Formats: sequence, C-alpha cells, structure tokens
Amino acid sequence: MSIAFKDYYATLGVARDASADDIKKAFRKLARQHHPDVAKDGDKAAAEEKFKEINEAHEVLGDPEKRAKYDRLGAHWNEPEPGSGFHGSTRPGGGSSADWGDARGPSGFNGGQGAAGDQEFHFGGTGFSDFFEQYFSGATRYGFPGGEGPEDYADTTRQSTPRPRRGSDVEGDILVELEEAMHGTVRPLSLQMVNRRTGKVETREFQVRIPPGATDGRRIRVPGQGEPGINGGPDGDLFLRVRHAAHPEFTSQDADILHDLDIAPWEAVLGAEVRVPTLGGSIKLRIPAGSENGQKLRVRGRGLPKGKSGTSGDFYVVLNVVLPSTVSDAERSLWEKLRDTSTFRPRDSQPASASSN
Amino acid sequence: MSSEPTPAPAPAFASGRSPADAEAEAAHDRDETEFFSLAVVAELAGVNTRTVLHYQEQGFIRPLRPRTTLAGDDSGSSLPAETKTEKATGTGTDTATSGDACSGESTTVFDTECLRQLRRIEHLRETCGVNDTGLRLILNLLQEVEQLRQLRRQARL
Repeated sequence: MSIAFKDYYATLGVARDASADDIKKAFRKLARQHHPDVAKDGDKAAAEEKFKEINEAHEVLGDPEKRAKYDRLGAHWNEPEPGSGFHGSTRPGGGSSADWGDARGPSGFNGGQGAAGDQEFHFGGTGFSDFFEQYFSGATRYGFPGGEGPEDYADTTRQSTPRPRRGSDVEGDILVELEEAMHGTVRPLSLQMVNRRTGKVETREFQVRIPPGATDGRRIRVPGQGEPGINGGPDGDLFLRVRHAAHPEFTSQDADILHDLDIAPWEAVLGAEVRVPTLGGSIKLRIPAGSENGQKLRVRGRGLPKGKSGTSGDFYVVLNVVLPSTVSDAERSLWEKLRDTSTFRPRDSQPASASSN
Repeated sequence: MSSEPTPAPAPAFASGRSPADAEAEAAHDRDETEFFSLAVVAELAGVNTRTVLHYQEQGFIRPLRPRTTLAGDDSGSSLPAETKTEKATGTGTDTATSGDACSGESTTVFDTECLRQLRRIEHLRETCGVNDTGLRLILNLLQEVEQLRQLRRQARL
C-alpha cells in the first residue's frame, strides 16, 4: 500500500518560496472559507475533509522545521529507488545523511524493517493524514527527539538472566479542534508498531479521552498502549500531546481563547457595539470609546474550562484598528477636516529633530 | 485516591499489568487528571521511593503540593481525586509550582508529568548509562528544546 504525496503548497495556494506571512494569510483565508460551520449542509463532509487538509498543510508549512523537511522530501519524491516501495528516496542527492535526522531507512507500512526512530510508530486517527504521520508525526520513544539508537537492543541482549522490564513509553501528538478541546471528546486511535521481540507488526486500536479544557501541549497518558513489556514486564504507556488545530477565528493560550477583531478608527475613538464569534456562539460586545490599537477586551469565563474546578479561562478580543486604503471624495474632505481640526499630535513626545532634518 | 503504600516494586508481572497500573488506570478513567502518591509513582516508574526522592532533591522532577481546601472544593489536602490542575502544561516538562523541598511523603503528590519524567530518567540511566551529572545536562537541554518549540509553535499563528 503506498501513500500518496501531499502537495501542501497547492493546498494553500501558495508558491514554494512563500514567506511565513504569506502562509499565515493564505491559511486564514482558506480556513475561514472552508470551516465546517460555514459550509452548507450538503457539503459538510467534504468541507470537513477540505478543512483538515488545509489545517495539515498549515501544520507543516507553518513550522519552519517541518517545512524544511517537507521541502527536502518533495525535491526527491520522484527519484527512482529500486525496492523501496512507495517512498522515492532515502537520501537527498548530494545531501548529507544528517539532513534526514529521524527519516532514516526505506520503511513503509508494509512492515519493512524500519530504522530506529519515529518511523517505527504509525498512528491512525490522530487527525493527520497517513502521509503526515509517516514523515512529520514525531512519534518517539519517551519523547526523545530523534528516537533511539541500538542501545536498547544491546541492553537486553547482554543480560545473562533477563529480568522483566516495562516496555518503553511512546509519545505522539493528537490534533484536536478547539471545539473538541472545549467540550471534551473521545477519539478512536490506532497505533502500529514493530514488536522488537518478535519482529512482527502489531496494530492496536483504542479510545482516547480528551478531557474538556485540554490545553495545547497537555499530555494525556493512555495506560498500557506503549511498547509491550519485556520478559513479562508491564506494557509501556502512551503519552499523547494535545495539539490545538489552528482555527481561522481563534487562537488559544492555556485556557484563554483569543480573537483578533478588525475595527474602523472611528469605532475605536467613538466606541461601538459589534458582534464577535466565540466558541459558544456569537456575542455582542461593546468597544469602549477611546480604545487603542492592540487593546484586549476581556470576556470572563468564555475560555476553556479549567479541569473540574468549574472555572474557565477567559475570552479576549484583540482590537486591530484598520484603515481604509481608498476613500471617496466626500470621505476625503471629512478626513482633511479632521486633520485640520484635530489637536492630536502622535509624534510630539519625540525629541525635536536636529537642524537639517 | 486511597493510597496503600506498596513496598519496593514487585518483580515479574504476569500479564503486562501491575496492581499499581490497574489502580492508576481506574483513577485515570475517573478523573482524567492524574495524581499519584509517592509509593504509586515509584512503582509505576519501576524504582524505589528512595530513588524518586533523590530525583526530587536533584530537581529532576517537581511534584505538586496539593491545594489546601478552598471554598466549595472538597478535595482537602489528602491525595485528591478532584484537585484542579492549574499548571501551565504548554511549557513541556516544567510544572509551575513552588519547587521547594516537601516536608514529607504524605503531603506530596506526583502528577502525570512526574511519572513521565521518571520513566525517561530511568531509561537514560539504565539503558543509556547516564549518571546524575549527565542527567542534569540532558534534562535541562530537553526542557529548553521543549520551551523553544512551544514558542515557535505559538509564533506560527
């Protein structure tokens, strides 16, 4: 079974040399367009698929390290390599093997002898595609970057009387939508790994409970789903790190949710009433007169729940004053009048300029 | 969660699960936020309680002190099933607590991060043969890497 290459640049509609900012903007625009909530009922499933793809493309292209790896992968995708199955190349032409870090070896789903490292673990149902899991999942033993070397084989073989040992813990990421993080959810997951004792590929399926209020970065322990125990020892655990999927309208910061709100200059100066979206539906918000650019308006308790305490984080609206780039003649004369009438001097606090400037 | 202190880790486990595993799993299913007593965390990590305390002294793990009773909070100061976890998990292995030495086993609880850290330490120590000095270096580096990655992750939006 081969995995299809995913063209993340095409998904976001950006050039391969797009800047980080281009990618941010493209993501936001597309995510807003395709967020399942805005999709018409008929297209809901398709919208969810499309939205997942957009999210995944952003996960990779928005992360410099992942993007660099993806770019290297993509460059050699079509290089023929006899007997390596779906994945075109194990080594970039002319590059050093150090480039590959944890992508060593032509391993694949068909249970090939993978090199040590995160290629040995394949997650399903994490919210990422198989392609992503293959190359970017970062699934590791004990969360050590780069995976482990052959030391752990050596350890068990040099013992004369093998004693029972707990299997290694395995760590991986799980992508969770903000709505899921808000209310909690149960996700079915599968983990495929090569049993190092038997050399066989084993797949386990289980459920993972994401508690309400799971913050980004929080690790959830799934007991017994790590590596099998050694010599009758207990199985290791799985530690899944919650990753909040990027949302077109919100970002999360611990238990708080933030939303960027564009407002007109007069709304900031004169105040205004606006509707803003929240995870629980839209709310009316009063922008106080005299607000400033970048100011945060707090709506208490509309963030993520905090464990079982009954409290929640807060919802912050971050004001972003935007200006019209073109104005009608009538507007222009009003602006000119304002310029001539106003005593506002933003630069008065600066020291008087030197002679010639 | 009731804590019957178990003695030093039992040797062979028949079916890949120990009594401590089962107990911890029950607690896990019950409240999703895990806290372990010293004895339980030691068993789950496969080490002596002495070892856990040693790592704590070295600053490799940072247990929590349970919150004292707050209004409406029935967790009290015993090992809690409902204690809220306020720590900022976004910064990886570091738990946001006072990190002072605890006054005794009965007042400290260990959380999921402590267990995870203990297992990693044991792996580095046993399988990779790292001593305390090496451990300190490695753990500091790992923590820094996690923090940097988190910062970079936040910057992407």
